[in-house]
Amino acid sequence: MAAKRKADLSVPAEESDQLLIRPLGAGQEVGRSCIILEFKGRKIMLDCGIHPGLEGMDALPYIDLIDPAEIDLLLISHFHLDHCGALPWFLQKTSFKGRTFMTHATKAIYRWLLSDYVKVSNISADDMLYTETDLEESMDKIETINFHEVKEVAGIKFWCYHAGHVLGAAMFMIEIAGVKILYTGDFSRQEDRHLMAAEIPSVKPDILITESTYGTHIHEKREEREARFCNTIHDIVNREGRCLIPVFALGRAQELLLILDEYWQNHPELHDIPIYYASSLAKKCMAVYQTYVNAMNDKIRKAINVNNPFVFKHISNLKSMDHFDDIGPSVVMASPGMMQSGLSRELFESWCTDKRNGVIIAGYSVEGTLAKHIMSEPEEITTMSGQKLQLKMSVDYISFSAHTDYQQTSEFIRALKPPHVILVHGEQNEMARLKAALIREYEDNDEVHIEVHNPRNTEAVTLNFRGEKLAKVMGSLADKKCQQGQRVSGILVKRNFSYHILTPSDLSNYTDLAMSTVKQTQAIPFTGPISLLASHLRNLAGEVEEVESAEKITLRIFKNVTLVHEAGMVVLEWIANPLNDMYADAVTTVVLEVQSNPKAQKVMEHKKEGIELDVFQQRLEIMLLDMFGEDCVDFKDNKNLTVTVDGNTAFICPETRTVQYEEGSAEDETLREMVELAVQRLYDALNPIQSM
Amino acid sequence: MSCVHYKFSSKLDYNTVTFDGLHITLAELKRQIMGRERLKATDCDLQITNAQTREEYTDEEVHIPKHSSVIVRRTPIGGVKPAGRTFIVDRSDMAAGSSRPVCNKHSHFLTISVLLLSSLL
Repeated sequence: MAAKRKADLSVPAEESDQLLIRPLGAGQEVGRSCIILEFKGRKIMLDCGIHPGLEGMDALPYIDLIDPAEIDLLLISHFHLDHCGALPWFLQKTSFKGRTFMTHATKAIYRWLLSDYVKVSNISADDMLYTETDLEESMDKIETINFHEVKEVAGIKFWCYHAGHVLGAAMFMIEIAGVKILYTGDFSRQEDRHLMAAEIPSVKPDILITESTYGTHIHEKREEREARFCNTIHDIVNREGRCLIPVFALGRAQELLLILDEYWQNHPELHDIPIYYASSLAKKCMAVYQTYVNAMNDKIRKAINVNNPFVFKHISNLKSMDHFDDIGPSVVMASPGMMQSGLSRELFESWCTDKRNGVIIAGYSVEGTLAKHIMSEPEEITTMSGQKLQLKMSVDYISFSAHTDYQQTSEFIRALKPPHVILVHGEQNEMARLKAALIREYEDNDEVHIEVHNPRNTEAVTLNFRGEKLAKVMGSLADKKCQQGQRVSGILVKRNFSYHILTPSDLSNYTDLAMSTVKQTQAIPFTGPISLLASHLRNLAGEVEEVESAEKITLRIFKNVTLVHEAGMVVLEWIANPLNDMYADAVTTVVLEVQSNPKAQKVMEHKKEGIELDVFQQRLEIMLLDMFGEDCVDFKDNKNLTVTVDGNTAFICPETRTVQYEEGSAEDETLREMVELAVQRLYDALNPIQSM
Repeated sequence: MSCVHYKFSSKLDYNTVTFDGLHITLAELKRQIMGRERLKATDCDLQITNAQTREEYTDEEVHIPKHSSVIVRRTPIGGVKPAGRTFIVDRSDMAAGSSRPVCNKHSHFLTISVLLLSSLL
């Protein structure tokens, strides 16, 4: 099974109507998002993430199934690891040479988030897919795009909308040849403290590629969730416990910090209990958040002008474990979010045996991570060093991961009504349930038909976009209104995906193309007399015109080829086109013949126009005698030339070259036709040149 | 020591697997590559093709001679499924919003059902 798909050989990829969507990751799973979109010979990659539950090469999407050098465009939706974690590897270690785009905030955060990930990764240097240096070098290759800004690369138009979810997250709308595809990345239709809700695009897409993380679940109300979160923390610290909240340094952490700061503000009894935000990158991260305020919602933008809400009153920064005095109850937010390694894992291992402590999983946890594992409430857990510990601390799952739920997805699809929906980024069963629910919703709807797909990794969805092709007639061709059935001819100019029809003379007005003529000049050595050449040329061409006005002797042959007699040579000139080239060829041959043949160096008589009637008649008699035999042909009387066969007599008139029967004699036309044809052919053979 | 050179299709350079003898079986080669690259996932398989002839090795017991070069592709277990049915999307006449008039001169839209576009070019 070849990994490369060859386009249908009879139709080149550029003109083909086939659109292909293939997830190389996040197909019926969450993690390593990487979706390939192929249409009209263009190849686009959407996101390039790693799987947080796997390590090393295993964590990569199935990139081997495509040729990185063929990808024209790579779009990154947001900075979460499962959407851009493989980007440094893809940019630095493969043959990819296309262009990469993401929003400004995404690029800034990507730098520090991945840097944190590289530092915190527990695996040996050999296993690492890339280093800090690779990450730094990849920054130059990434270009940025503003929300709602339209860019065009290789005939592909694209722009992005706010997606909510995290700062800088975007939903990309891609347009190729009039077909629109919307890739949501991860999105949320609910506004939170600092992010706006995902926008509903004003343009309706033909294909929607959407996340399905929460499938058919319905989130609890925002106020209830926040209340539950704050109450759980309050309970933990009240019983003298430590509360661990594993989150990545950037992303949902900022939302939680805003919530906690406000809660502490309203509860003076908690002011002695420290809240730590543990990240070596904290300062850099907060600086980024303060820079990209215009990617946040209106409420916080107004608040920033008054009093920066990201300058927290009750939260302090913790650079590392060494700075941490573990005395008494506290709340610590530490990375990474799924506790694979790093500070959150260390703290978890040192606190998990005490039942007063508690851990709150505040985000979506991927299969294979410790965070996911403890949600099933196991008796014991394995530490990073392999030791087994009892799990006594409380485990709560309160998700702030800002993904869309069933209500939001359903409303989103209802607003856009895309004919095709492709589900990605969802665990297999969740995705299947969502697919069934969506199909059920539109089952009885006659007006709206939506096809839902949920491809596995490496499985392609093929769509064929049949449509009429439109060509715009412009310039002088458009001066008159045309009727149905009228023939229009011109030059078809294709620019990216738009077609125009123009007359050749209009080409320079509308395009960079221009019509031009090519003049050919050929010099041939010739030392004989020009009159000899002229008579030979008359043999060839019949008519040879002498151009009066020229200084040197100039002949025009076949009306298009000019011959000038210079010293020792003749110079031919003609406008290049297939017919003239052929004439020029013939003339050249004659010149060369005359030049090289010494016997021809004598003046020939001027050819007579047409053949004498006597000669013709003589030749005619010989031919007919040959054809029919002596008995049948009678030429004795110069006026009556006859041929007699089987009693039928045909009379031949040499002047007009027609053949008649006697009045009312024969019905059989074959003799007459045969003789007439023979007479005519003989005449043509003796007079080959008709006037051209 | 005999060796076989392998390269992942998406990566840029070759690595080597060494073994004793004149050839190595496909199953053993896969095991060695997965070990060297630390590929542990249970749902991942490798597709091995000869770098020169582009022939895919399918039989687990086939012998790959020493000094061969192979291309490796990570695939999900079960291989890459060929594309399923193609869905036809019928698009009614849409205004060509993507084409921009180059000049302000008046122009008319002409619908041409183009089956052999190349014949006009």
